[in-house]
Amino acid sequence: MSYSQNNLLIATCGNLMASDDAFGPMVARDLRQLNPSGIEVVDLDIRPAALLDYLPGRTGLILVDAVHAPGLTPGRVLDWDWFSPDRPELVNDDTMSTHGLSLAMQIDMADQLGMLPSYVRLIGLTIDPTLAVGQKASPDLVRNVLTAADLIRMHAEHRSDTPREPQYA
Amino acid sequence: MKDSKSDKAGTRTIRVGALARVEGEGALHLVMDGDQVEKVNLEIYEPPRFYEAFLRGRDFMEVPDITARICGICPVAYQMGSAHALEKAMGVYDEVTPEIRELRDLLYCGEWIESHVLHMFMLHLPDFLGYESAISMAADHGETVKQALRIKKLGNVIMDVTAGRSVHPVNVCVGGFYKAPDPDKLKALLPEIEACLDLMCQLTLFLAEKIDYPDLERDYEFVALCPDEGYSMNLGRIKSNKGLDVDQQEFGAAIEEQHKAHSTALHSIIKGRGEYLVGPLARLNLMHEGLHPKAKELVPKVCKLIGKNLPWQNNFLSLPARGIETVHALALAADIIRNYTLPQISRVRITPRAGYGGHGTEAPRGVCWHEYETEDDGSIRTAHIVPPTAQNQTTIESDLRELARQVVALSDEDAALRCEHLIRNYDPCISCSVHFLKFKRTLKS
Repeated sequence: MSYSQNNLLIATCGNLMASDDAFGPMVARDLRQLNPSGIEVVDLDIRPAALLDYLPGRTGLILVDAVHAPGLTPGRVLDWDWFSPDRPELVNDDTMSTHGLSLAMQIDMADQLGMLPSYVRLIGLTIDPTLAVGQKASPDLVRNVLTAADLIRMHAEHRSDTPREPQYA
Repeated sequence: MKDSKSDKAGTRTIRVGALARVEGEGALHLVMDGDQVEKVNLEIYEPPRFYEAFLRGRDFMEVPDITARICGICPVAYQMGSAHALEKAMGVYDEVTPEIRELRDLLYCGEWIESHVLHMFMLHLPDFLGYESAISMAADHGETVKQALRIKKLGNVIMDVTAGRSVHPVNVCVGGFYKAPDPDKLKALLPEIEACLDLMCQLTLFLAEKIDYPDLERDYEFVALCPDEGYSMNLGRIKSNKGLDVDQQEFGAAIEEQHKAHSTALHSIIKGRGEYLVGPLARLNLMHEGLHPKAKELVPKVCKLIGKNLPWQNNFLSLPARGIETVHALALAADIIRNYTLPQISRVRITPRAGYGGHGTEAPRGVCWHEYETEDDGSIRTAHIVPPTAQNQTTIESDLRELARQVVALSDEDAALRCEHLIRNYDPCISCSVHFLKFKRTLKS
């Protein structure tokens, strides 16, 4: 079954002042430039704890954030079903972020409360965990942002329902 | 992450790799000899971010938008502190209209609601109810969590409508607001505010009734803004229960910031006296008479359920204090919106000049004080920001010193959990304080 796209939330997260952690907000900017129909883009900036505010009534969610993924080289765009058992392990405690209530925790809580859409996807950019606030972005950041934005448009157009049993049900 | 080890001399070390549910990065190191605490270090190692340095040379009008980025949870506090201080520097502080001041209080109400509810129900309540996290707590208290999320969302919406967005609002400027919010959009929020006010009263009584608060009474020096009327967010002299009583501009001279080898954040003390506490407990103890009537009528009920009258000397009671403050913020927001009409001006006119201004406002975590010197063209010559978590650091270490004596017989893991629980009383924002937590306990015998 195909979804109506207007229930798809694109939630980006990251710090424009912290090198490649700007990935999420830059993807949001790119998506908004083209004003795509049928999706809502929300930039959570450095307050991802607001994600739960936007979930009720959604049928789909695409999270966009810079990630630390042990074993993966920095600069890779990840595109995964959030619940895929093959999804690379991510590190929640990001030294560059102020994530008081991480995205992963909110996904679990939304699942617990029956608020989580069945379609949840992660578009992530692997980053160097030693990068700090104030450092310049990597040369490939803009290209990776465009890649991510294209992936999101593709998913928004072609996503299909894959019912998933809530983890905590 | 926690681990422990013994060394050759029989000492024992416990580490907690990172403190969950606080903002930022840090560690705790305890050294104990029997039941005597030799050292308590709250080791804040999040790198400094040098905001005060890179504000130099920027135009004064840029400052609220830049300082807002110090924190994702309390950007309004940094905007309010910088706006008020720079209005003093520009000589227009007394020209700011009552309507603009009310809108600033409304914006702050949104931040208090969002920040307090996030902390109470997502980050701190699991400690008191014996859950590992809000996720496991939600399995048994799903309805409570949903109610809390509803109120938290309302806080964000109030900020969004008042100031353009909830994260790093874009409508705040030195002198007021770039644009006055739409009265119809604000008034449309009233039914939800009134519903959430009723919910929050119930939730505050729940916090008072259902929790057996740990007993850790200390003789704190409470510091807060104390206006002649009301319960301050933006205005008022800075006072304490032990004799501090200074004008906003003089606060910087009343305190001393100290470098500590174990922390990248400065530690503040009151000159000649020592540590002090800012935040909800300080505000409630010093200003409860100024609460909105809806919150004020709740105070005796909460005191009766807890079994303690004000002043509360136990910072574990900061949880119900936040509940009462959230009721206050919701009731105040409703009053401001009911009376709101489009103001004639949304900001005062400013001619740049050389000047100086110092001002603190009440961030959710306590007094957040700013001072600036400006050049003739309005550019920033010097900037100085004193965030609440930095002011509380010495007090947190003293609390931990007291608690460590109580937990000496506990296992390393349980002792670490109790210490983390105590630190969360302060809702610390380490990202702000450096402009938190690994646990390490060394037992010498």
